[in-house]
Amino acid sequence: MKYPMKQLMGLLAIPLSNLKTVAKWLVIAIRPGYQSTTARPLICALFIFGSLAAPVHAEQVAYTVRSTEIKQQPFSDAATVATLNEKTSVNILSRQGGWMKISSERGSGWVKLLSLRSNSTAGKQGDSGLQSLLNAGRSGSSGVTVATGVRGLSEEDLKNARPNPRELEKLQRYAVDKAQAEKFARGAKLKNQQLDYLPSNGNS
Amino acid sequence: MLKLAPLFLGFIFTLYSPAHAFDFDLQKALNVVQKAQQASKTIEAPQEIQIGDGIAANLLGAAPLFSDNQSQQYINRVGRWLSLQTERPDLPWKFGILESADVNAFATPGGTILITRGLLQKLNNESELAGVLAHEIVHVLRKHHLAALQKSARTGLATELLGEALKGKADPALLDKAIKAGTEVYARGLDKDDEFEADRMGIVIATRAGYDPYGLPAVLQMLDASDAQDSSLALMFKTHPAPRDRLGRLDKIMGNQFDAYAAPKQTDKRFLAAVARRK
Repeated sequence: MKYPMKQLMGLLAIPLSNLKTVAKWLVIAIRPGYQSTTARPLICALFIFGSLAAPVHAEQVAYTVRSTEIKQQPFSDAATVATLNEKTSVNILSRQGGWMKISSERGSGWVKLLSLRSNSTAGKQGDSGLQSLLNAGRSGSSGVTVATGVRGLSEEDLKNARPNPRELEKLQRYAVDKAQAEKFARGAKLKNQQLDYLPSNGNS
Repeated sequence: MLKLAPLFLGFIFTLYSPAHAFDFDLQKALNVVQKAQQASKTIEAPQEIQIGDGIAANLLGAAPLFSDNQSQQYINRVGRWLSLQTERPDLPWKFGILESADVNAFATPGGTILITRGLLQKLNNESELAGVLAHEIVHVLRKHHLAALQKSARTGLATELLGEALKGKADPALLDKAIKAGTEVYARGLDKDDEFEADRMGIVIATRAGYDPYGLPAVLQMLDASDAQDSSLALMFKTHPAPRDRLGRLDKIMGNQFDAYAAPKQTDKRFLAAVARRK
């Protein structure tokens, strides 16, 4: 490999729609003996573009939260490739609606998105119920705060925020009316659907 | 502005209990939540919008608008189309992208929705954007922040508002105080159940608008897989239930009924044109 694998992984954050183009360039670039000096910077540019772009689920590792069937197609009634046990590790390749294309030791195919969770520790960062109750018992307005001078959206920044009416005016000018919104929807063939809100299932 | 004083006075009388204001008691806290929810019904739309605009001005003071007309116009169209699928289509809905690498989104009372450039650039398509905006839209529909503001108003702000009102002068500074207290709600976060409700209703609003219902769950999965130590995610993680808990809640209620919906391909092209070109 001409490019260190680890770096490539990190850079593989390319929107799905760009993958084809990138793949084409890669095929050209990694052909043995290919020495073009013009294509190289282009490939680099593509990877740089990709690294700033949205993370695709390329090489994202997840695990199953229940016994889960791998389907040949992203449909419930598609043929079953294999059944994964709970807590089986899979690699997520892409998404289509509520289905994730995955590879695993038991085979490849489609698994329901909501049967998968990430392996990361992000889940532990969420607020605990106790914390929010404690916060609710306190008043946020009495704390002495220190202005840092650096603008941003941290907790302290928000507590110290001063109004910016000019930006609010600008925001108001971007607003669109119903007719513009409907035209926009028609432009991409978005059709509205009749659907009721879901009951909370007695959980909240 | 003067009209606000009696409104605030109303809920202060309901909530304020001077002798025990600083005691923490679970039952009392729950009562307060309940009463705040009842009280929030008394704030009329014009005041709701006024407070919300004040909070939005503060958020814009913390981070200005991302200077790209095309993407600002784009998210306003996506957002306004979503708002038309709700029970409050006539609010003055407005949407903005904040110039910040942080990953977060905010809704202020009366229909202002702000999303950071950092979050927008992590999204893959218009359905994911619709999922995020619809979640925020629910906070407006259900008046979650008004309720939280009223809940926090029972201590410091309540004292001042009450004192001013008893003196018989309704100071316009009261509104400023409400806005300041309101802005602090964004540093502290809403109740977890408000966030779960925003997910639960948000997926339906996005689906009604013709989008892929799994846009929001996909974003939650992306967040679940994100580096917990990343400081750009700190406030969002602090003020929301864990992504995996939110996915767990959706898992319990979505079933197979959303499998039939898919977004038209045209939305992908449009998203890339308006958003990805700036990445």
